Amino acid sequence: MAQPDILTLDQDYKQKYGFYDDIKPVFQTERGLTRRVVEEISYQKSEPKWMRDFRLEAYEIFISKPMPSWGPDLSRLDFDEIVYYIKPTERQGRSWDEVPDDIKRTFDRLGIPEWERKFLAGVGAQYDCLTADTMVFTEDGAVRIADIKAGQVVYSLDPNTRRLIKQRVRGVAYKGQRAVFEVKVAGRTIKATFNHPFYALVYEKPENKQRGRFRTEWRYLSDLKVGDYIAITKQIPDDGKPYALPQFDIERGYTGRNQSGEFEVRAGEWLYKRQQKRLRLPTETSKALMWFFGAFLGDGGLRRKGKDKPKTVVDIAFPASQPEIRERLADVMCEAFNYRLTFDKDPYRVRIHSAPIARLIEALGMDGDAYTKSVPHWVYGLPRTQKLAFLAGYIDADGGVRCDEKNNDVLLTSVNKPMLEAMHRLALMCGLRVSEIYTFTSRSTYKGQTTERTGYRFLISGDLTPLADYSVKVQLNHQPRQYYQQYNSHHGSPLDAHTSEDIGFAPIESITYLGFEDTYDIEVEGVHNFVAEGIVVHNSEVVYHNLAKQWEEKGVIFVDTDTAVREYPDLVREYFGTVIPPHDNKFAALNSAVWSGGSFVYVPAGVHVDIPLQAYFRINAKNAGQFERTLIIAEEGSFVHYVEGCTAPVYAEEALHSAVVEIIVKRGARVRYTTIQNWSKDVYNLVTKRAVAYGDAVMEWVDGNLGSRVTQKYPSVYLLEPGARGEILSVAFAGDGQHQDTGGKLIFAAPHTTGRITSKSISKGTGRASYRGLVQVLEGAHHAKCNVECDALLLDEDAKTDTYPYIEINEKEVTIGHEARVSKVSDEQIFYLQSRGLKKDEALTLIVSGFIEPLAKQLPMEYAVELNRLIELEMEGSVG
Amino acid sequence: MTEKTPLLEVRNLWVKLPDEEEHIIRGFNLTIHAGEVHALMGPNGSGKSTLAKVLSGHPGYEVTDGEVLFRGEDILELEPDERARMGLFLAFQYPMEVPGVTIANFLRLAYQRRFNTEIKYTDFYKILLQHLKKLEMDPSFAGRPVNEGFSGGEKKRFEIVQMSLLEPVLAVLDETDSGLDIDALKVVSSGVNMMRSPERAFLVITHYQRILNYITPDYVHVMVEGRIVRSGGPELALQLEEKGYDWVRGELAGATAP
Repeated sequence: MAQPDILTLDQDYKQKYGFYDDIKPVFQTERGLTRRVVEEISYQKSEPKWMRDFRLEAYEIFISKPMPSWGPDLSRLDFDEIVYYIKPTERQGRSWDEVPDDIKRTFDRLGIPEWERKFLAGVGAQYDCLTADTMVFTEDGAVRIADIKAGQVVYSLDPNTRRLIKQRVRGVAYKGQRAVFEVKVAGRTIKATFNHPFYALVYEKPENKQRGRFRTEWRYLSDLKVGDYIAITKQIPDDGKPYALPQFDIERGYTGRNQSGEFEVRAGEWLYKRQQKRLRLPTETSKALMWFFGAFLGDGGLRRKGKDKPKTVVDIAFPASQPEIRERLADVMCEAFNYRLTFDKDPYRVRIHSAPIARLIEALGMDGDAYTKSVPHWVYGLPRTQKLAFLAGYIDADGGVRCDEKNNDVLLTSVNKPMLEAMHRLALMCGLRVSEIYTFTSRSTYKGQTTERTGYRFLISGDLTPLADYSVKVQLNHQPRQYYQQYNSHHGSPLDAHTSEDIGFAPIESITYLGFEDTYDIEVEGVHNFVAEGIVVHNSEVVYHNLAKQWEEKGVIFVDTDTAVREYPDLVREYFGTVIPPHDNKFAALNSAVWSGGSFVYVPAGVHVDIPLQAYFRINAKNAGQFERTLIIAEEGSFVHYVEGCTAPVYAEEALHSAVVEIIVKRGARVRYTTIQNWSKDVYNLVTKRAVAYGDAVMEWVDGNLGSRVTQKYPSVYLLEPGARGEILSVAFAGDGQHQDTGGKLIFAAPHTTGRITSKSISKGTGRASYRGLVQVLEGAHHAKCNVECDALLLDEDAKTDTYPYIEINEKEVTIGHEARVSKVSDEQIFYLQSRGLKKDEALTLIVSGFIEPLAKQLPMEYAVELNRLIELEMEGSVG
Repeated sequence: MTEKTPLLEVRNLWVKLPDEEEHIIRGFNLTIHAGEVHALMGPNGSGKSTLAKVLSGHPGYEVTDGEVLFRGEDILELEPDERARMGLFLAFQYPMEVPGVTIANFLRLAYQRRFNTEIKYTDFYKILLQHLKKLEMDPSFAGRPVNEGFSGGEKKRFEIVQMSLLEPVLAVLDETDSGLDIDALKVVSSGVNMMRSPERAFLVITHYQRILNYITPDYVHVMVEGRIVRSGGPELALQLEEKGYDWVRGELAGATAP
């Protein structure tokens, strides 16, 4: 059927971009559409009878309806040449490796970075992730990646300012058991999969230059080797707050004892005053208190005065041989608790007899033996001065300070690995230079029995001045030096352009294969990276085909429509075909007869899904039809943003895409539906999209159309109850030989309803962009307000644009505005930009990108980037 | 002679619109050396603005005779952007609006082309802010669409911002003074004066003498009906101001037509 001239056009495209994709199916129907084909499709899907009947009825309607007599030329569309159903060989790709090479090549040509490509290719799960125990630096301290929740705020690198900023987490995903590698850098250790991206420093020296320069880029772990420099955090911004301590009454009881035993004295006020009037329990943490807690974790313990008694004595093993430290403890006790410490004869330990203080330590969960004591989580969220005081207390109790000619460091040793790791992380956050944590084994032989003990240690080196303010041991030994490694240089070359107070670069010390472990990944808004274990790592764009668990728990359903028919038959049956019944138009009937795939989304009342739900469609074979069917139900007061990416162009031969999208937006709910389609230049893209909006509901369509030979698409909103609002934003780009017939429809069926249609089109070469819109105000829909704005931009003499605004008003008190503008890119505009040194096609591209900027602004960032890329590609070679 | 190559040499230039017979520029000659400031004055319709556009490579005109040498090279065949990259700059009389395109995005691209370099957005931003500051423009202009919604004075200032950023070798200012109030005129003039250097030349096209109070020219030329009819020092501008263009016209009428 294909006319030779059409093929020539497409051949050009194929040669130029090589976009072509051919996948061998396991099953496909014969060409053309018959009743048998429809039955076959239903059979292959093992559908319930009601759906089969629905399809067959739709088929009859399709046969009986004539082709539309208006709109673009569809005379070349031959229904008998199309294959209506192809059962794909495999399910959705599970990894980037499974994405067909052809598609990867397409992305290459588009120049889309790899981690974005995966996202666009709709790969269900990725490998780039970190192990479950990886600590992510969040606003509230270090949190296991597996415990991160959507909405939590993490620290991310702003590559422009090179400072750490706070960013919200969009989602967390369990990525299964993966092969992981341990990476060691500057005392930090992280376990990541081979394709997790790190922020790397790259040195480049062009051949004709004497000196090269550094630049930074995201690199997969697999592309990094030992010695390569990657970004680490030098400190975490100091924005912590003191921790509010639990409050309880200081007990005014007293245990007395005489020969006949113990008795409770309900002490009078006098006794309390005499014994403990000085004691004051602080309401929030302070430097002095944190030093005390640090010292307690290092060398302290709680003791009972007898069996079955509560713990009332705090023991701290500060020997009398270290009077300076004992003195500091006395000062601190006074400052923090107004407690006057006295030393008894014990040369090894200090005793604090205070039930309230013991009780505070217990309440904070710091008590335990050498193996079980732990650092409470809130310590991470303290101001830096308090963290340093805490570290200092620990060092004074348990650390070894070596400051002499050769060394200038603090050695921390413990058998308690989690606690040592916590200290390590705190030191990192405070901007101290730390070594990695080493494991050592010590053997001791006692009475012929050899016991082995495993211990852990790490060093704090570099500039110890911050610690000297709090730590007695450091004060006594510290000798400030002139020079410390600041992670600001690369073999002596300064890196000032790439570092900041927060960020430095250090060489990778080792990369070791560890085996398989549970892995997770998070997605971060905006800059798409985060800090884990003091290292800057990129996140991966999680594809929400597998809906995050938290949404599932709230009752959100997001599955393909075939699955929905099987798993949620009642829900589907209630709404399916109610917004767009088969007899609506010939193509809706066709879709109803042969539909396959598409998305089913159900959002329960009041649930706000604040991550965009994304789906991706493509045509898989020559002459194939793509007939997805999407149904979205937003219950009262809910919100969902659905993004449909038929973005990656798959340049097949003559094909038909005829989708149906039905959306039900109940009272007070809001749905936003975003599409960017970039079908190949031989696809007929005939789509019916419609939403019904009830009281105070908002429906927004954002629709970008770049590809296809012919597109006919007029997203519509039926405003059924007062307060409903419909917004349609449509952008079309019609290149050589393309006809984009797009627009929108708003039906005002209730009073006080509002709506807006904004349409922007660009025609280039022999392209034609038509705006076709309907604004209909039904009787009774008084005080309806509507504004229609169409802008058309013509790039060439032969380019065409036309508008068909239909307005039907059956009510008096309404406000309807309509504005249409056609502009041509003027020679003067291009001359202006060229006179500043821009090449002609750059000037043109800039003007076009400025024209569509209002749409690009509305898109999620990944899509905006891609839209710009696609437009650049369309504009390429547009100048003689 | 050891004289250096002139920066700009226009020899016997004849220019018309493609569809018309009548020439707008008729045998125009001008030589500008580095370090010089030339003022080109003339009544309305004398062809001053056409000359400016032709020098910059506007595609809407047809050159029927003559040549334009810029830095010793005939540039008439070159695209406007190629001329710009060689260091030729035109401050427009009527700067164009480019909706939706921010000044920062546009000028970053221009900067990269002019200096054949790649510059990071943030680094460029700092540079741009300095130049905006010089012309007393608010930093927020960096994020605004090019010339869209600018007042006449802001547009002219922004032209000078671009000039100062792109460091041309020869800057042609096409009636930059028109539509400026006295304060804006001072700011714009000081922007130009700051850039004066032995390596750089200016061709200031103006209708009035006013701007020449702030930018002192080395030479003043009077253009009437497509060619220069009189050249002299700064005093010529004052004479013109006093006697009006009819004075040169009268003199011209007395002379024989070519």
